[in-house]
Amino acid sequence: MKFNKLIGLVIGCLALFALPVSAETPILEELMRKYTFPLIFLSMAGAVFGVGYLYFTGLLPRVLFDTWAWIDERFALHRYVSLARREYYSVVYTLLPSTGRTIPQSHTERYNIKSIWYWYPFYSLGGLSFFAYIILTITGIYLGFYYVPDGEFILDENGHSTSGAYQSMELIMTQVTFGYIIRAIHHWSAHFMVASVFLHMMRVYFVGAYRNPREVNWILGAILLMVTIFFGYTGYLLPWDSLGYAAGAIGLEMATSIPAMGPLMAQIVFGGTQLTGDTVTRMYWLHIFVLPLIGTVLIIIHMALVWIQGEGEPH
Amino acid sequence: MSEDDAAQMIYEHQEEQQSLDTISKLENREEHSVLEADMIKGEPLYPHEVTRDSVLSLYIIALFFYLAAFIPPPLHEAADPTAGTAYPPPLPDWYLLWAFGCLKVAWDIQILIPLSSIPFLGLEDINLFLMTAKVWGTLVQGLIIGLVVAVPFLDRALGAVIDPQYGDVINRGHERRPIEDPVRAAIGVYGIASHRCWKQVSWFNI
Ligand code: HEM
Repeated sequence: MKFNKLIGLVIGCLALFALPVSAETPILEELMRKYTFPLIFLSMAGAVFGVGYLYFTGLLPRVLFDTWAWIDERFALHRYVSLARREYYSVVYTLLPSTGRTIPQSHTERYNIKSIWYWYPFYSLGGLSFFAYIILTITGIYLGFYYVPDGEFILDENGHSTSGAYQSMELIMTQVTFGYIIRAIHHWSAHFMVASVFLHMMRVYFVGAYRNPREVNWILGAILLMVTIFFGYTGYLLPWDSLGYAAGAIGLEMATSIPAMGPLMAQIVFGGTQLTGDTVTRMYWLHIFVLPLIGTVLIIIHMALVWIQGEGEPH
Repeated sequence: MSEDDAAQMIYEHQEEQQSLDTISKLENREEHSVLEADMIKGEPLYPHEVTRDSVLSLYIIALFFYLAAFIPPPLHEAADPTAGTAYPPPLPDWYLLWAFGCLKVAWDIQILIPLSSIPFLGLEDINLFLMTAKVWGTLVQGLIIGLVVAVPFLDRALGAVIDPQYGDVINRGHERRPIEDPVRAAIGVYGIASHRCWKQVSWFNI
């Protein structure tokens, strides 16, 4: 036990050493460049080593229990754990009372399929959209530290048009630690999410899983599809490069052409009937607050409904 | 009293507490209201679907890193409101091309049918079709989205038309393979095909 505390102390000291690094001091920046990878590697290796040590000395259950007891004494979690467990087994036994098993039969077992069925990946598409959504949230938080939602057109030292937003994108792509890889992963998971949401909708359609108890889920899904597309669209504009600007022009045209309430739509979504710096501010707020809020709430309801109703999986 | 003894006491106390809780809850056990509905006989999200998903997630995160390492995300020239956009072509992202295609089709129809560009009652904005191409295009997009939202209800109505007596009942909660429901499958394929066509149209005459 004492040895563990020692290891904890050492890792803690290393973390403290890493904390006060400021990007403004060149020496520290140099240190950060040099030691970020080793530190990450060391702490990961330390975690693996620490857990391995506890496992092989047989101390792991005790440490886990101590942690659990510490939390449980304060928050009385055992109540909720037993509640959740009771709920789960009551669901299982009510659905399949005759089996007496703790886990319901899988699709493969129920229909006596001898191998993994090649349609199974299509049933994972909803889960994979959710997975991509989580990745997007994590990488998006990192990008948000550096991105500046300033779309005012200014001239750079060569007399070319640029903007604060575009300059911050250049910074992320060239200067920021991990900026390139984080943006690339954000980019690819965004494309993946849109694709997998489309395909998820197709699988739901083609197996007819939107029928009777699941209509609400279909409608929630349709809203989620639009949220996803709108996420993509608003994000497309944020770098404020020529491509984003062109897409903005098309979107603005579409918004203003809506009969009667066109100008109002343009005002709400684009911050005016012209593409200006305000457009970027709008898109930013939609992209990082409004859509995540709506999307997260809807995804939670959507998946809770699947939890309650089960998936429709024909054979 | 040593540290281990204290931990042992706490452990026993917790165990006792937990079993008391469980016993009292099992004694006052209630039916789960949701489960009374006999329609619900789906595949469980947990643990079955979660297992399948987590296996695939590992492949997908690897795919993300692979793509991120070899194909850089684009960052073009800075936006310049004074310059014309020759390159890159003014297209939306790939998943919005169908919507753009709708606009183009409406635009071509307006050009091809000269009647529609004749002003109506001498008003500039209103022509014989009473609307301009942009308005038509936007409305068509709204219509498509509306059709997608209405799928469960259209499906039911279709069932009722095909089999007036049982049609809307028989489909209740019945997921089926596409081959068992050829009409629905055909409509779906038609939908995908038209989506593809609009997408193709969006690339014409850039
Ligand atoms: C952000 C986007 C979405 C997420 C994260 C999501 C997530 C999920 C998940 C995890 C499931 C469980 C079954 C599976 O994985 O296939 C599911 C089922 C379902 N989804 Fe989605 N979904 C999304 C978008 C959509 C869309 C666009 C539609 C259709 C318009 C839709 C309609 C449904 C329906 C009807 C079910 C129940 C299917 C069944 O029980 O077999 N979802 N969703």
